[in-house]
Amino acid sequence: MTTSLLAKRSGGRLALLLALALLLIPYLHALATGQPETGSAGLAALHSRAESVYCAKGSTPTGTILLVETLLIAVATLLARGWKTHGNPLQEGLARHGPYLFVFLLLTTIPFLLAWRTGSSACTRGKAFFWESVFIDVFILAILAISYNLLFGFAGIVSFGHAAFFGMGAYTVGLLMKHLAFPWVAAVIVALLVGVVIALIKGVVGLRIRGLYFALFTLAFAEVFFLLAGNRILVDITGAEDGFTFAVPDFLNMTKNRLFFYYLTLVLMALAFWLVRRLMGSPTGQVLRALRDNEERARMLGYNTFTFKLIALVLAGILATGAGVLRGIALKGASPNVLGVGFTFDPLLATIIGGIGTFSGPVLGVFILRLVEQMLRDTVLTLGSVQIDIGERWALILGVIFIIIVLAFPKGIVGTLQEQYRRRKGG
Amino acid sequence: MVQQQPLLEGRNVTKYFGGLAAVHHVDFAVYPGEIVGLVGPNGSGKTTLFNCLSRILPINEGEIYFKGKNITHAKPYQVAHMGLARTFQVIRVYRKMTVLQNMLISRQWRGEGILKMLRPSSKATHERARQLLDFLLLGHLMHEPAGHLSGGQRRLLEIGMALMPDPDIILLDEATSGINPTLIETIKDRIRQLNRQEGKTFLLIEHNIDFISDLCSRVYVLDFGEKLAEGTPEEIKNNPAVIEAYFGAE
Ligand SMILES: Nc1ncnc2c1ncn2[C@@H]1O[C@H](COP(=O)(O)OP(=O)(O)O)[C@@H](O)[C@H]1O
Ligand SMILES: [Mg+2]
Repeated sequence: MTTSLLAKRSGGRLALLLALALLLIPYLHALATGQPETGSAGLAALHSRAESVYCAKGSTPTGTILLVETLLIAVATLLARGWKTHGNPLQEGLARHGPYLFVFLLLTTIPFLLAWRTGSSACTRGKAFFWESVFIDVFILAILAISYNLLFGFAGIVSFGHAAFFGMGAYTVGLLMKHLAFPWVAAVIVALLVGVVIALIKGVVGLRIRGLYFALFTLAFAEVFFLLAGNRILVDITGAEDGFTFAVPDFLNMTKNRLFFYYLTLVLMALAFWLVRRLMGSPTGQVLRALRDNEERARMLGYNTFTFKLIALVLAGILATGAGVLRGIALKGASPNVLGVGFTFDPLLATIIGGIGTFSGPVLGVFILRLVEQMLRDTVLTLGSVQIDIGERWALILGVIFIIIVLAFPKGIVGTLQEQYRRRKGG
Repeated sequence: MVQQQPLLEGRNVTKYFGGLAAVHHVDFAVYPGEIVGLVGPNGSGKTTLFNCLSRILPINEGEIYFKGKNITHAKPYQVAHMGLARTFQVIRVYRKMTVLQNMLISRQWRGEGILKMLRPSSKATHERARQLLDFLLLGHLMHEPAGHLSGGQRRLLEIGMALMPDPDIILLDEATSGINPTLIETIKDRIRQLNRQEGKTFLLIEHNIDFISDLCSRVYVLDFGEKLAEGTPEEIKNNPAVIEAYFGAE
């Protein structure tokens, strides 16, 4: 029992190290084979060396190496899962974490896959560049959905006001950098603290009311911010309904350094995912599940359930605020719509589609929602002589797809598949 | 009975639901090491009294003392920390968790730091959970989801969960209802063992009169929220008012 527990832990660490090593190889290869831009020196010269390799149009060695690594991990994971020897930490690590490693590597490969398929560069304007921004948006929303799921799926707290966190993250970081000339680190930290304060207020005032009333309370709470942000009284500060823009340091500038921003948001999404998984696997997570299923019982077992809900709310608040901060920096601005109900309902929909209370469900849900939306937007269907511009009706079609998914997968895609898998294994 | 301080005591406990007095001016005391019965027809307020004692429900009048401390306004988790545990008439095990997880969750968090709660439960906790599960004949079902257990097994698991924190008093709400006679004997035997060997105190809501007679030294009878009688099981069985309450009304 203890040895297998140990193996599990060191297996996880080994899997993580493996992932980092795999990620470094393509960059080191690019460094070794590239040509520095003339006139650059020092670190910049090194970096421009690597760029000369991976920023090329079409297929690049960097992309090829990443793709091969991704496929290798897929095969290794399948092998590790298929053939059970006990006690080998690397194998146990791969069997457990391999699927996540695979998805992570696949996502690191995507910019180069896109560059290759569209004959464009991953670093400069073009098709791949555009799709990277779509994925950045997806990663940011995925963090928001992970946060939503932590509250709704795991702790059983229904909030209709998640946009308050998201929007305040974007507004705080932007306003501080714009008007008070905060350095970006300070602005980000203060923004996250604002998220904590909002969570505490919501928790201390709101958690005493239950169920739907709490949901409505959070909705009203978010609406206050929404109305405030759009109000003309503060027009000099917030730009009212038009919002405002602000300058960000070059390395965080998504227009200039998109590939970097892509990896930054990808890593932060992975971190949020890991954090929630870790939390839910701990005793605290078990208590959160327990109080979702039966709060009274949990209280009688000696748990101050209020504290636990508050912990969940604060953590979810930090994650959602962080997502908002990223959104603000990505767009170099904010407008009242980041505080609007859209940013409450999108994560809610994504969570329902993917599977409430599953780990990967909300992330998958966001991917489906956003990528399908993006594809629909510029699709024109030609049936004989009739041309149907799907792009104009994307919302309608997305709605239909949503309904079909919910009917076919009553517990969300991941939730339903898991249940079927379990049933097949049990029966 | 030697006069000593009661472990759990209610003075004038009163609980209204709207105009209905579910528990009305009830005085009682349970002394350390006793097994006390609480009986009465359906709807007489037994479960409500448990809810008041375990602080799930606020009371309208009266006071509750546990270990000499006034807990009238304490929170459920606080009385749990002080050493009061209970089971529920409607079984409330966590169906999606395994039997072992149900047990483990019953022990964690005694006001320890949050960081400690992020770590897996200790070896000692695991060991205690296993021992208790074996004691309750559930050892072989440890890794089954609790939802797969029979009604009787779930009741046993509920008792196990109540025992995990090593409480001083355990309130059992109809621990034998819907359970086959063999399991009832098991439960009876376990309660007796816990009482004699570990000195645990019990307050039992029961309909099974034999169960009460075998285990309890004293019994309280509730009827329409009022204390109708108290005494030894023998006295209660022969008390005309009790017979009237049980059989007269039907
Ligand atoms: N939460 C509640 N709200 C309103 N009435 C209740 C509630 N709980 C119990 N009652 C009422 O209080 C009375 C006592 O119920 P209960 O304590 O469950 O009785 P017992 O456990 O003795 O069968 C019943 O009339 C019941 O309908
Ligand atoms: Mg009852």
